Amino acid sequence: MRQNLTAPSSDRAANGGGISVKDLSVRYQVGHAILEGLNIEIASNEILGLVGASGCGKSTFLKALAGLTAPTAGHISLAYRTRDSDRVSNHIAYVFQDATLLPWRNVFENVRLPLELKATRSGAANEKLSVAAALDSVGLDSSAWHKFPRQLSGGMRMRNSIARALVTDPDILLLDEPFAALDDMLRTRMNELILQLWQQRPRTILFVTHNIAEAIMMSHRVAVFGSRRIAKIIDNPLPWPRMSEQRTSRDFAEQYGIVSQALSEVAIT
Amino acid sequence: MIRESDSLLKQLVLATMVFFAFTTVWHFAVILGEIHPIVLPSPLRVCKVIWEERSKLLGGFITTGKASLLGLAASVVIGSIIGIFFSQARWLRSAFYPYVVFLQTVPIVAIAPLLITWFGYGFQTVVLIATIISLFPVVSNVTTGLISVDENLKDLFRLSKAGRFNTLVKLRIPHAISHLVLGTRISAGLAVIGTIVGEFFVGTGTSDYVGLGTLMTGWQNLARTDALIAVVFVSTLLGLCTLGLVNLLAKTLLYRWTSSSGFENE
Repeated sequence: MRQNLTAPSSDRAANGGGISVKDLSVRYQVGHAILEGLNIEIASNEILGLVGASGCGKSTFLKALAGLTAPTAGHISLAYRTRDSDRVSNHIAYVFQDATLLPWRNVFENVRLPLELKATRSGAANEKLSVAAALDSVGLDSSAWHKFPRQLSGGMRMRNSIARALVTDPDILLLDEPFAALDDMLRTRMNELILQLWQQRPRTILFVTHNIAEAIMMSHRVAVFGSRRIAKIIDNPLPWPRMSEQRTSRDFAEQYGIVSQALSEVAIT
Repeated sequence: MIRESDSLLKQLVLATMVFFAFTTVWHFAVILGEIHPIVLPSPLRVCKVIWEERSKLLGGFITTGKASLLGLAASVVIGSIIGIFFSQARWLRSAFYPYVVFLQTVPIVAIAPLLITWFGYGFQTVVLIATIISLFPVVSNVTTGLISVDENLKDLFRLSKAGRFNTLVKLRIPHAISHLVLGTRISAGLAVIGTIVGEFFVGTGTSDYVGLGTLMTGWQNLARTDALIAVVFVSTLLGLCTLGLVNLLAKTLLYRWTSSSGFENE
């Protein structure tokens, strides 16, 4: 299959990972809606940045997509590349803000966890290969494999967490403010890693962040959350592949202005 | 609280100095005050008794130690099973937890005579009393450990469609192990107390059981204050050894699960 590295595919029948959300509402208590009437179409292999004020429902939206929160109303449909029946349980992966590693498992064992939880396991040798490949892809070499989370730096913990998300080769990757706790240098490096991983193996990525620059660098479109729904979706004309040098370009500055403007409009209303 | 900057050696020297100061004061108080040995024997006399009665004391130490450890082990096993049972549903906790608390509030000295009546004057009853008294800290700590798992970690397991069994074995139980150790530390002391209380009720003359508790009742009847103090020292030593054993297991066999919780630095 030829992979389109510049733009997401709109042909959802051929490529998995497309998401269609209609009138999604989530209420935790009666009368207190977190999300209400949210609509969005996300193409296969698209990277969508999600920005908005704290508590506007971005995380709840990701949790609803992942099936971790039940919608009160509305409909979510996800298209998968269902190559085999077992993959159905592993088509979505989630990366949390804190690395959420199991402290009693080392780097290797943490990445192996999703494979262990599968209904049918593929055998120790295959699992080992998958884990090693996932760890290699995020740049954790074998000297770190036997370290425990408490022995790792913040950046390494996050790499560990991303490797765990990738080990099942999901069609959809949900990133919930994954780099908020990292310093700017490290954040830029992690952004490059995510982009590089996407170019190697395109998949649909939803990326929640408070950092506008990060949202622009990392996405095809930026969804601006108002209260309880997506207020605006902004197309991102920056050329692919994305490079760090683009941060200083005129287009980037312009795009930054557009997204900030949209955010402040949402905040006022 | 002991500051971390204090070296271990410094702590040890200071603690030993306090011990010697205390025994010196005790010794001279007895000599200069001409206190009768039945009221308070001198530390030298106590040392002499420890040596003279070494075989009885050692036998008592071993018997009471065995009963304490068996009672503690039974608490850990039974308490963990009850904890796992409780962790499975909130309604189970609501229905049964009050009775566990109730069991905890019944004074052990009140039910010990009953247990002796039912199960006889012997080792098994002593172990049973040690188990009952040391059960509650294990149950409450294990239950807390099993249900207080981080929400994100639970989401991670739900996302992988992990079943109840996998979530229990790969998430809840490993998370609860450090809590189990905390509970067992409290229970270790209680198990020794329970054993000695049990031995009081077994008493002397009713069976051939000889533990530290039966030695105490025997020597009390003979007004041997020096031997009673000696047996107090041996009991304390037993308590320390039991606790030491629990800590040793936590730092070796269970290190993988306990090291991340940081409580060994307390």
